[in-house]
Amino acid sequence: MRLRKEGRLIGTMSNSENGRKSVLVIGGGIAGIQSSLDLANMGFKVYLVEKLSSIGGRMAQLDKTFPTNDCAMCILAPKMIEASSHPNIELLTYSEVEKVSGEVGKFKVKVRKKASFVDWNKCTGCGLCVEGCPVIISNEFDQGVGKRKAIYMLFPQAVPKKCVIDKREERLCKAACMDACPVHTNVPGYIKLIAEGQFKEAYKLIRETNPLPACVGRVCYAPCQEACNRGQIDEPLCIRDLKRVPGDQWNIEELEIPVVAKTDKKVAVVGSGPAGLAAANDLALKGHNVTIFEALPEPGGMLRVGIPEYRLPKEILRQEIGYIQKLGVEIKTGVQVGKDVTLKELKKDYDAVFVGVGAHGGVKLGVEGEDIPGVMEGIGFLRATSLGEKVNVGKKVAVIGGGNTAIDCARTARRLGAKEVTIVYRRSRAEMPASEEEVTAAEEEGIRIEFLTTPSRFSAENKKLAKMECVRMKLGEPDASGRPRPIPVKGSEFTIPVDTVIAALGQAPETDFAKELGISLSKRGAIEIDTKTGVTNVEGVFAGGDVVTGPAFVIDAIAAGKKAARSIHQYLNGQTLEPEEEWKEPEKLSQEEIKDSKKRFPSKNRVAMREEPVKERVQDFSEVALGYSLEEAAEEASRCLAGQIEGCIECHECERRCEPKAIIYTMKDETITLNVSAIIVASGLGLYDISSLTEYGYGKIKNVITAMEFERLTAASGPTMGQLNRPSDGRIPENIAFIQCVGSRDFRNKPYCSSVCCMHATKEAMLAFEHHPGTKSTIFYMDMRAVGKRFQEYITRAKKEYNVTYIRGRPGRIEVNPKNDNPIIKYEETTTGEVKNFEAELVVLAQAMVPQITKELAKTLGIELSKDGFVEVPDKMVQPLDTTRPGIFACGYVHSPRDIPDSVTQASGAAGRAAEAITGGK
Amino acid sequence: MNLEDIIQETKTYNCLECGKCTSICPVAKYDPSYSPRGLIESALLGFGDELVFNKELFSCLTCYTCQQECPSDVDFPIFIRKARSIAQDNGQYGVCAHSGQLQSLQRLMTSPVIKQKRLEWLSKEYHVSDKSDVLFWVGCAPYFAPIFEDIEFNALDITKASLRALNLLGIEPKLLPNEKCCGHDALWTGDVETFRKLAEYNAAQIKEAGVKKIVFSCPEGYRTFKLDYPNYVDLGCEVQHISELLAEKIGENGVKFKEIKKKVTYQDPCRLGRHLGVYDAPRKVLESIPGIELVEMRHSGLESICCGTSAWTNCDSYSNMLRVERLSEAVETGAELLITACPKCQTHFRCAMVDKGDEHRTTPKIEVMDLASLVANAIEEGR
Amino acid sequence: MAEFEPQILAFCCNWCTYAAADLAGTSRIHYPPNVRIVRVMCSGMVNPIYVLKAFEGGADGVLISGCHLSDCHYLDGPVKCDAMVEKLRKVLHVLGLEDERLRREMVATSEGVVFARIIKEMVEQLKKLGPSPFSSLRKEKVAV
Repeated sequence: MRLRKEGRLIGTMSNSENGRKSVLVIGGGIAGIQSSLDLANMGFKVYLVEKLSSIGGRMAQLDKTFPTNDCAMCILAPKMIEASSHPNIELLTYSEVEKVSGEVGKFKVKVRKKASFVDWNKCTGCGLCVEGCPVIISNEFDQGVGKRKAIYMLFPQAVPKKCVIDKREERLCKAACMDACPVHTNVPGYIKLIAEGQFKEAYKLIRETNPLPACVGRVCYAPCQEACNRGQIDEPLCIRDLKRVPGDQWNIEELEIPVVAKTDKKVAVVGSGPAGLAAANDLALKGHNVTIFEALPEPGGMLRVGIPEYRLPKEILRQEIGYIQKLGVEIKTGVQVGKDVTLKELKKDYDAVFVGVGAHGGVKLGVEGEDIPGVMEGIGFLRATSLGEKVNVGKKVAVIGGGNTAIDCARTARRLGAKEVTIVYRRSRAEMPASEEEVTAAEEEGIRIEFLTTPSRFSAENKKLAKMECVRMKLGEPDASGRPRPIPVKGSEFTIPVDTVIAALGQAPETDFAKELGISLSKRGAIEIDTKTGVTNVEGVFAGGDVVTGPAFVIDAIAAGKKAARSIHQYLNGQTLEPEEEWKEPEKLSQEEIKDSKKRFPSKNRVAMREEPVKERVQDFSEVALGYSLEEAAEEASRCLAGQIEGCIECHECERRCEPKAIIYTMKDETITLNVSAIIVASGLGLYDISSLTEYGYGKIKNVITAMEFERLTAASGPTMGQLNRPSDGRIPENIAFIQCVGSRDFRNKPYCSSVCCMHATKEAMLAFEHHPGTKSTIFYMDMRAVGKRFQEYITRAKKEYNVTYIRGRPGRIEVNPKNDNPIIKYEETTTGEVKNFEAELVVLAQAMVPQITKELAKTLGIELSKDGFVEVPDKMVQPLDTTRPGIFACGYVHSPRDIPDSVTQASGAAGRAAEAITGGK
Repeated sequence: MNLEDIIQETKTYNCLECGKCTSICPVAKYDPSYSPRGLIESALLGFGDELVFNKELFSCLTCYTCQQECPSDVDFPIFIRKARSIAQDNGQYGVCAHSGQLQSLQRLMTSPVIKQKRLEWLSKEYHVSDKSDVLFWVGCAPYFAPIFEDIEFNALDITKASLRALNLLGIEPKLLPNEKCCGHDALWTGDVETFRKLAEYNAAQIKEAGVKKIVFSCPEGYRTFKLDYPNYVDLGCEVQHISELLAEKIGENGVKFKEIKKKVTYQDPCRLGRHLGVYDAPRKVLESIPGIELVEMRHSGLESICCGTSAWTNCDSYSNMLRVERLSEAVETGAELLITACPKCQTHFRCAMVDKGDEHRTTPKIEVMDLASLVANAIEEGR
Repeated sequence: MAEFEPQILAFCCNWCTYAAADLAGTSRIHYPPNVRIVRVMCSGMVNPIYVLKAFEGGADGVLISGCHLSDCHYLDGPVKCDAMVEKLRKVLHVLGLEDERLRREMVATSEGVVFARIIKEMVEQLKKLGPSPFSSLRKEKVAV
């Protein structure tokens, strides 16, 4: 049958499914690949099952192969590609054989395809997912020398070139934090990175959704914390406090500027508060040219002039705004739209306009005497203080209002010298809009709060403010805002002596300038927008933040700015405005889940952030919250439920970044049944765990490594990019010792000879010399098993040209020189009988190799294994590749210790045997 | 028995000449002419005569460091032991320390009619009982006491401390008035005849005593009774080292200890450690005493270094160097006490410290004490 | 049955006791023939191993005799010998050997009579004590 793909002929295939003879090859190493190719070329259909996500096996881990010192991957890759593109070969990677029944000619095999959680039909192997994953795990392919992420590709040349997610258990919480966050920051992700000490990565991850991590980490009202599922077990995570850690622990000025292709579009942003900054940030990252117009002399909006220094130091804000400027955003300060330039002019000169002027207008008290000097408006007071202007604050200050602004005014007044500061609020504590933390902080600083009180009149003495008359209130029926309406209590008047009154009743947007363009405004002057896209009724003009909602929170403004930026980008590209998909509501843990988690994790309360001692606080404007230390950050971060599990924490970062949308967290294992006529076992070699050979100190002495770890170090695409950095200090060793027969030829471990180590040690010694000429290598051997063609010449060349010395003898012990971490080898020079010590900079142990077939798999296949775990061959002379079950054949290391050429030869032999069995032979 | 038989029995033919044994052998470290691998080589190459007449045959400490790591499963110490019996048959005896007095005493003990006076040190404060089913093996302590007076080591201190400890744990053991030497030294120097006679006599005495368990304060006696006697005689009872018994009882009876605030280190005797695998019991005992801080030497447990002389044979300057090295390791730990669980180890260490050395090479000094003595001091009265 | 004749091995120092034994002989002073004399240069050089080997070899008694304290040719031989014998006695005591079997004497050159008397006494004592408990070892091989 001819095979076509998109009309082109790509090959021939033997007869269709029913009746076609097919073979199962277990193991995608070089032997398995060779057998598969041979059989496929003969016209048989081959199912190549491999338990890892890519074929290639051990050879893919090697740097070079002996005796030619060819690059292993260069020889392997073409075979892998051939196998993957051959029409007769079906690759079933990330799969395992579960059950085998039947007999030669008609085996029925159940194969379980493990869930990779990535749709391989969509995955393009681009690797963007890997970049974003916050979970860092030891990499088995790199023998622990390198690290990988929870989502990973086995190695760069993987065939198939697809990612898999190492998900070991389901996430233990609902990640309600992410759902609750207005910008849906990847909270589990960055907390995991903080727990791992990856502060730069954590900062970058936060910045994907939030351009002001360090600022928001100080002032956010943290809806995430309220929703945090850990709170259902003991106490919620201090997510906001953790958010500032990356900025504290790492210099954010080192953040690189991405290279973005510029467009020819210009966008004007009015207002450099969080909404405007967020919009500008996102638009600049898309390549547009953004100019921000800011009326005040300093950028930042309420972040700069509304929130006092002791809560948000200006320096932090300056750094983060500075980065946005480095992206190419121009900020013009001291330019008021509506006065220095009109909105109409901006609409004409720019391709789009975003209005984010906030709500800076004060609300009048409406009380007699509020014109007396000494009675000032809260927002103006804070602004003046922030900008360094002179503000007259007396000794007895009253602040009217109950929101965060009122608290800010009160605490600022304290720091400006006021001795008595009283907050006067007309409702009770429960209705106070200010956050509990702020209220507690104020009380700690000696600020009194008079609840259920309202000023009725201010009076002066000698033209200076002297008294404030107040009346007590009581709570009545709820009003329009849903809160109880305060009703004055007759006869409860009393007077408080004051010399300063600050009215912090609220903020109103000042939007007269917008009337010119006919932008639709609400009764209170707020700009009206389509809440899904951020666009106003005027095309090309967008708005967001306090100017739309009235006073709200920083993170809401950022969310609004980002939403508008998304719409602006679509608008500039001439697309219709499509809102983003809605996120789900935050979910709670079920009772079952709470019980399970409580059983599994000991109760651990949150790590409180240290603050300046109260006495010192009011003396100046230095930051009150002192930040977490490294240990505190790690401790708090380790409480995160999502991060408790090993492997994937389902933070969805990969899903966010995957353009083909290939991530499927709900994927399940799939079982398929194959009908095959023969089976070839080519599952290859495993590496014996030599930490039980305590005399060599493997696992204890840093600079004692295994041969496979050495391969990964010298491999050009390995974790160190081919630099032979020794573990303790990264130095390139100039004196290396190789010890052979570690675990092999040893009655206490593996009595047989592993066959390839003498040659691979020689090869590795030569590679060390090539990487670093002059390196001296010493190989401690028992016998040099150089039995193949040209192998002895290889050894001679090593001695002559690559500075390799061979010493006969097995060392008895390795100790370490504490001064330089050099391993010291104790050995007897068996040719002379002298007992000596040999100090090397790096020791490479030729670990024993074992057949990679478990007793369970052997039982499943119904074949017998020898005492040492190799596949038992009933008749070694007559049919050396047969196993104890007719129709099942074995080749490669799982059959007996052998090198690559011999494995390939055997593989072809096995393919021949399989073909023989299928076509009617025996 | 000839050399060929020994090679077969001990699987010496498996030897791959790898040299692992020699590289970690404590004797080979100092004695350049000694090589376990070399001795095996000469045996396997058919130079049986050379081996039998080689003085180095008696240099082996039989400490079992080599056999722990031999990848070919060669039992070198037993090979040496059996080869030594051929050597004895050929009139080769090694160089016996103290002019061979100890060996002579052991031979004298084989006489069937002697009536030893071994228990004259036993005073009323030590409670023993003829009815007990636990026998405490006194061993050679009554002989070592007068012999090693000059190095200020009274082996009977260990015996008395052991008895006191046992008493305080509620055990009043039986003592045999006419014990004979267990025969360990005779066996390991190849004098199988002497060993057999001693073993047969001891076995008869024990059968007559009708006890269920024998407790040893000496690991050599313990090893000999546990591993070697069964090849020659039938004992019919359990054997245990006092450290094992203490570890058991301390756990069970909730013994109260006084606080002893001392930093100590522990020497694993070859016979207790590598021969019998008892590493944890003594450490458990030490850690149960409040105030005791146990610091391990650089080489401890399986890697522990032998005290330098075995069976009072071939004790030379290399033995001394070995002892100095081990004492240096003990001093290095900063410990105030070196705890041993073997009277031989203690004798050898004390002997090494008698020689103060000179300005170029001073002998490290540390107080040596047996585990039983420490425990006896620590147990509170009036349980 | 033949009467038991004890065998005594006597270590006699060359300068004093050996000469005394000689004198006893030339003076025709009779003493029992059960003694074999080993001439040593000084009683101080007698090593405990000689005594032990003597018993291993079947001796029923051992005599060590040398110069009087101030007469030693080598000055402090008798002191050393006394110390050695004191220690050895303790060891032999534990072994169950009767005290009388090891005898320490100081006999001067001229004291031939004394020497003869010592031997006579020792033989009588040993006859009463009987053969040494180690006499069964007599036929066994004795190693160095």
